[in-house]
Amino acid sequence: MIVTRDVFHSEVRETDKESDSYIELSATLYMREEDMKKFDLGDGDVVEITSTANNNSLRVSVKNSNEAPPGKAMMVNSILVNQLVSIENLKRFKAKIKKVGGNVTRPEDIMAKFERK
Amino acid sequence: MICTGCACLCDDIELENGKVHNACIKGVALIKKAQNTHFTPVADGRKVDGEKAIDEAITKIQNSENFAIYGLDTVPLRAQQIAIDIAKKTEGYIDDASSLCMGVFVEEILLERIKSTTLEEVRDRADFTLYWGADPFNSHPRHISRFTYYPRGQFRQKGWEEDRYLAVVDIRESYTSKLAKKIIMVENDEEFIQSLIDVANGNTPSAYLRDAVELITRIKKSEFGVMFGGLGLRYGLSDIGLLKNLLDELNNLTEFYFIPMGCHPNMRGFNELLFASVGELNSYSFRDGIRDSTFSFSSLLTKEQIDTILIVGADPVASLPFEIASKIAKANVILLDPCPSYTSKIADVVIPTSVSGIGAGGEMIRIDGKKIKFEAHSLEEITDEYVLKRIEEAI
Ligand code: SF4
Repeated sequence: MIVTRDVFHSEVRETDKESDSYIELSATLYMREEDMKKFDLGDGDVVEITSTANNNSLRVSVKNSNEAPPGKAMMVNSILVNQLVSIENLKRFKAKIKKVGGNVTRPEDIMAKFERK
Repeated sequence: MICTGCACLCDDIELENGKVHNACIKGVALIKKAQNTHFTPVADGRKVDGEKAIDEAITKIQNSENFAIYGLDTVPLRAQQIAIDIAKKTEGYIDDASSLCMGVFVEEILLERIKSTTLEEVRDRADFTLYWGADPFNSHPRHISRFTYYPRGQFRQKGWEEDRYLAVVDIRESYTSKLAKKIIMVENDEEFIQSLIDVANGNTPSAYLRDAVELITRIKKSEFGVMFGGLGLRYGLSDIGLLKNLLDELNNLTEFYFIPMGCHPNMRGFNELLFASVGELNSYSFRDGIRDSTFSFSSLLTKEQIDTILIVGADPVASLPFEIASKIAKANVILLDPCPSYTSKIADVVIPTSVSGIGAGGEMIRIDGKKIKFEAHSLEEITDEYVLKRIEEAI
């Protein structure tokens, strides 16, 4: 998987990090059509991604995009994908994906895991 | 006025009756946010006034045994300098985002091991532009139109149609690559760099033969070439020496420069100030008097080595890997920022400050090294400089 930037995501990040569009853009996994077929996935399917770097998981919605690299998947840089990356490589990592259905992970699910001192 | 939405630092922005002219959507969002956000100071879970929040921050810093400052890449030079002075006075640690992104490139430039140039020179003279692992269409939305491909420059009056060649090296077809005359999709950046070096030396590369020959042929034909290196290149490189070798080879073919694609508006400013002060760019410990990767903010967090953190204009809770970000909440966190963020949700002290370029004037150093001066547009909020000065005087 690779991590990228998206100007529309940057726009809503400035405007409202709690908004539905921010969450939608953050919780989307972009894949090329031919790669989606290999995993029997369609637009809007919810998958669980598990990072092999740290075993953390996220649920995200799949979307067809020609900007995704062939044979790989892509997410926009946000608090969500930063669940899955390691400090050694913030931009590329390996992950497993599994179709699960249900709702996508939201930033508040991640914030709930922060233990205060 | 200026936009501090990214490292382009666009200086042609106009604000008229609440309408923003000339900025991209990212810049418009930042400027509108600066006008509309109502963010309240907080100290230990209570809403307080700004001065009380600053007093609380001072107490926490005074009681700290292992203190660190992080962020600073979005605030003007004077605020950065005061933060460096605070780190020195407290024998604390200081770091910014460059330790995880463009610092490695900026260091080579400051040490004059890589030739760099200004964006105005690129606009006026460049006939070959290469974005490597960068997608300015999304990260620096006006970079291509103001500086590299679309403008009519002094010696490039025929613009992109005839005078300019744009190439992109990336792992994917980005939006930027769709504008380019040549896209080269690479899996392994170092392998492609080696192929370019081989072709430049008249040797046959073991990979990417056609693409490497085509690119080197274009570079040979050009009069002024520039490579913009983004995060894709940064994380595709284990050895900066390889990039330096390539740039040396390209300079044997034509006049060739490198500019990092840093995103933060004043990251280079922080790097230059710390460099002028202690000879290092980031990850510095004033207690030990050295820079070391173990003093980077992420390493200090990993080892739980800090008890109090002053975060200025950054949201590390959102931007660092979870394993590291989750440790932030274990320290006392003091946050200076214009708007609510994920970090403000866990901070002990929150001090809302003005957005640079709107509520705060000053100077920044653009990623190409050019100093940009700007005035405050409105003077209603407290600035980072004011808060940091109050802290610096008290400790
Ligand atoms: S390109 Fe960057 S500096 Fe220019 S308007 Fe857009 S966000 Fe602001």
